[in-house]
Amino acid sequence: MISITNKPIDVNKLLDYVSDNSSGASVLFTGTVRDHNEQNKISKLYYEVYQEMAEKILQEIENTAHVNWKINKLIAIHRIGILKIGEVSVAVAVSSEHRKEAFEACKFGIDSIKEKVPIWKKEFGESGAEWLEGVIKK
Amino acid sequence: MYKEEFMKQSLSIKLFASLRQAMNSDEIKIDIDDNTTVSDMKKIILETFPILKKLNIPFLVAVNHKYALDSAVVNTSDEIALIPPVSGG
Repeated sequence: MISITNKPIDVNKLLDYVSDNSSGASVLFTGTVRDHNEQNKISKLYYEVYQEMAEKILQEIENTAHVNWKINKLIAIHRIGILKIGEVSVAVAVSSEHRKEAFEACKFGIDSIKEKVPIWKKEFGESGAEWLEGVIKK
Repeated sequence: MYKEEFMKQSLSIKLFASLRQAMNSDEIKIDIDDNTTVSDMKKIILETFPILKKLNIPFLVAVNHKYALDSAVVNTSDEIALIPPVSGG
């Protein structure tokens, strides 16, 4: 399951979603808003999304994870809008029979999100606001 | 010459993040003709909007919500977007 939301992410709900009786392992990754980036003090972040494309790519990431690893459930959520320090901006939870698949698929999930999903963050810090330079993926 | 002008059609292009901010708009329009490729389109964009050339923000092109190759042909019925380096997470 995938989602893009402007509401706070409840990570416990993600764990509830992925856990079932056939899974012996659940792995949860959360990305949270840091109070600094290199030397800059950060006060908040703004996330912008290309909604239709982001949903499509998130769905592809979920599908690919199911093809490449023997996992039971995967959920990936990204939050958009203004986020305060400490809030969860992104979360991926995966369940599988044994831990190895869940760990690997979860890493694949968050790495792919950071690489491909059209979402951008703008940092608000002491020296003003600026868009962060991300990766260009061919 | 007249015929060439006549054949041109307007293509809308969605902008996001740093590119949207640079243009102060979430959409730009350029004129294309038949068989315009993503590569041609990039050149037209930079010629039409010198500020984008000056800022030199790298971007990929998405056609109908998929990253497109330079060789892909664009049509006015396609949903086109410029994707600056993503920074989610």
